[in-house]
Amino acid sequence: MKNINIKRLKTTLTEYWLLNKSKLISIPVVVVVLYVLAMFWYGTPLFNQLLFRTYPDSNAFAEMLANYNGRQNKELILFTIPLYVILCTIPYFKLLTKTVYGTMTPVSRGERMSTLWAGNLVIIFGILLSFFVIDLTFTTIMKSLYLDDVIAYRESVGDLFYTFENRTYFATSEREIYTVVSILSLSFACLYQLSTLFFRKYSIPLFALMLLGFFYVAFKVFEALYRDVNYRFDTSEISFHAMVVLFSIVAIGVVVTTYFKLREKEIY
Amino acid sequence: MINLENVCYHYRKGVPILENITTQLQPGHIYGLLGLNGVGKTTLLKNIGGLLFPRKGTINIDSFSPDQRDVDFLSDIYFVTDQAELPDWKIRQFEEVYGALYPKFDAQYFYSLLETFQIDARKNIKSLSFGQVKKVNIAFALATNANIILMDEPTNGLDIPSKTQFRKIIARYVTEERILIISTHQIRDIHYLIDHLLVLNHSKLILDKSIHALQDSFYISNKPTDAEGAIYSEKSMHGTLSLIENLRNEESQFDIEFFFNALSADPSLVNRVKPSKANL
Amino acid sequence: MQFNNEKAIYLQIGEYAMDRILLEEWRAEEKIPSVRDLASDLEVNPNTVMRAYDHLQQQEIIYNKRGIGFFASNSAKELILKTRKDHFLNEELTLVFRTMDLLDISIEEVNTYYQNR
Repeated sequence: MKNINIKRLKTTLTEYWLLNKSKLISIPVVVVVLYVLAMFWYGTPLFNQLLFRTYPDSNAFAEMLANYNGRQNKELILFTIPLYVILCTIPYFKLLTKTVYGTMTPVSRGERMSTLWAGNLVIIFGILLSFFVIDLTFTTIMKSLYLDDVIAYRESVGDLFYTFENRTYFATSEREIYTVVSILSLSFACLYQLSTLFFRKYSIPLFALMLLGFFYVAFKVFEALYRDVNYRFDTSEISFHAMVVLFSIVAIGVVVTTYFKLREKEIY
Repeated sequence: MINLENVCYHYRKGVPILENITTQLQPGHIYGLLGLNGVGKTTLLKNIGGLLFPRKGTINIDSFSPDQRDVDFLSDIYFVTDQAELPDWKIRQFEEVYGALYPKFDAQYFYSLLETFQIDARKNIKSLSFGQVKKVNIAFALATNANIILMDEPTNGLDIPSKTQFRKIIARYVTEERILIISTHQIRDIHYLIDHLLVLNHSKLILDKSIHALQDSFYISNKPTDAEGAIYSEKSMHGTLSLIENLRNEESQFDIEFFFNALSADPSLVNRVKPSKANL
Repeated sequence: MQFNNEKAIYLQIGEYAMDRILLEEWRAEEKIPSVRDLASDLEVNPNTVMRAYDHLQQQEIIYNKRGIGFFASNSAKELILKTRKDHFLNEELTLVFRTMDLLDISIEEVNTYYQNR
């Protein structure tokens, strides 16, 4: 990718930013709101406590906190990643492939691709970071407020070595989630962006097909992660690395093809 | 120089829009691209700009091929569309973001043109009317100081005072290095600015001559006696205009619209153009 | 400027320039508008103005100082008056005489009108 000029790159970045400013700024807000909604979802203990005071005394509350490990799948929030990628890509590609001024602007494909990927990375890691921060904040608050009570409660029933478990309100999401989601998100972005450029006709059905395949893999992975609480990736470290390498090769191939496809659209 | 060789284009197979268009366009001129609605004027301009790719034939502009969309090529060309679509930003923002990309861009000139067009530079493009957006686009185009400016029906949607301003500004823009190609069917709007005619008719370029060459070959007379035996004539309440061969080597004023009507009525008219003078 | 549909534009521009010189709006030995300025004022292609200026140069009504611009020559006014006078006497008068013949008007009749003007 020759021809990356800083001045022009600044222009394409500004262009992308002005197009998607409100969406990008909304990322932390949306993530936090969704997280809070998930934690206080209808029917969960926290919801009941807030609205109906189900657990009248701190002991009962502590008991619930100690035993409840069916907390909502807060990780589902991370599905906002593909949503944001789509929302931010659509106007940008419209600019590049449907407007005269977007096509005639003297910028190189390298600058456009770099901008596109800067956007992708900001979205993906913006959401992951926001999620991480709110997750950490929430669990830290819960711990500082109630962990002592819970420990005291557990001791009273004979458990002297209480450490909270994975799916309680005290536990942050597993580290692996971040790696897996990063890989899947990057792959998604690659595939989505190539397919909208590549498939002139039927791009929606073909992309839907690709997406189905993607989701199938994603769910299989999630399933593997959550089937057994003690499941760790260690035992299949080699296959994990193989997966990373494979995805990387596919990703690079896809990105390169997208790069070349960028200039091939006629503007009717 | 813009070089087109046997350029063919069709949107759907079997419906040719451009067939074997061959021409060389030289800097220092304002080309008028004429033709009836839908004949392919916009298509031709888009091929030159690299927005569409010729199905056959080649286009070469100073060793660039427009369909490659090289950055260096794009830095020296601007396409003013009929339907002006500009982003929904403040005018100032638009100028700052995109002006920086054109090496010869003159921001001061841009703002002075806006003033001439009576557009408040502090406004947001979103709030402008169709005609005003066009004016912003035209102002920006000229401010890039690009060597090639393609304009598709630029006066369409402009109010009368703006058309006057447009003419004055365009007359000033021409230099020895610059080419302007203006497509229009409102010939009267830019009548005296054009110095070379390109006429499209049924997907072919039937005329590619300078006004000077045409004036050498044809005389437009308003004497009613000349109507008989004229190549073409039109009666109006002002009298009769007749197109006759220029046998006396006199030059008349050249009414392009009248000539275009004559040409549309009989395209073979072209064969009567004297080959003597070189296409300026 | 409104162009009539008779003479070629560049000739009409030439006449326009000559009018300006006669009216002393453009003075002898002074710089006249540049090609582009005049083109912009009259809303015509600069090449056309160039043709007009070439034509005027040939008649020695204006001259070009390289790098500076065009100037009205010293004898411009006289030259213009002479050309126009010639044109009147040789061309416009011929038309008048023709009309007179057609309408059977005598020169004495015309003279009467002339004396009473």
